Amino acid sequence: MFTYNTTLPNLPPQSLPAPNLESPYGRYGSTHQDMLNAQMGAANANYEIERQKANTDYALKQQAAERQLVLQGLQQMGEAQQNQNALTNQRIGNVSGLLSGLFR
Amino acid sequence: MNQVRTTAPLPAALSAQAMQAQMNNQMAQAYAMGDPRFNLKKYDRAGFSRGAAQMNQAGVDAAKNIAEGVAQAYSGNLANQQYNALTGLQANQAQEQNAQALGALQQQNAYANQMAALQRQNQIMGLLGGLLS
Repeated sequence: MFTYNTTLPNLPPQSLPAPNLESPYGRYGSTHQDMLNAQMGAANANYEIERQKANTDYALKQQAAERQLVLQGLQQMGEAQQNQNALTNQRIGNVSGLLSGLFR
Repeated sequence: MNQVRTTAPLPAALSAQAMQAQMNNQMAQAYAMGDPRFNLKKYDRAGFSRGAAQMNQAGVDAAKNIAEGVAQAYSGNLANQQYNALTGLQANQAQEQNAQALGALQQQNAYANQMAALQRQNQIMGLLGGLLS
């Protein structure tokens, strides 16, 4: 588990509320409204599925981006640590050289 | 700022409720489109009474509409199940990959630190050897 604060924006896709329309052409009979209800119900259910897919895809991509950032940060921290080690060792080498020279 | 847990599990992709709602609504649409009375009206001609041929053709159209609608509902459900399975697989794979990358990085750091410590030890041994010779 690795926890950190990211500055990436969290903006999942904005979906609209599903419509539920009354037909303005009521005089064409109840079949017309029944068909509209049936088709609109199916369209709304399809829309809900697509909305959930969009949110999931966004969450996946966001998580991948954040993981990559974390990994890059950790790699850079590792490199910094190695650079520090190299400098410390160089210092020790210098002091050793100095002492060897003095006591020769 | 958003708090991020890199190993947090993803939320479930498509909810069972939404999938069931889509199935139900598409089935309802299929049956509405497959009502023979609805399919009969388009064969009405002014001045002609309805006969067995129109009734028969309307029945055929209705059956076709129901079959196509039901097939569409089941295909849609299958596509949803497939989406959920593949998304779950993708999420698991990404998590595993991330865990391996973190492990590799840790190993690399530990190795580099050990090598640096060894180098320091060598330098000090060399110095002592020089002093005592």
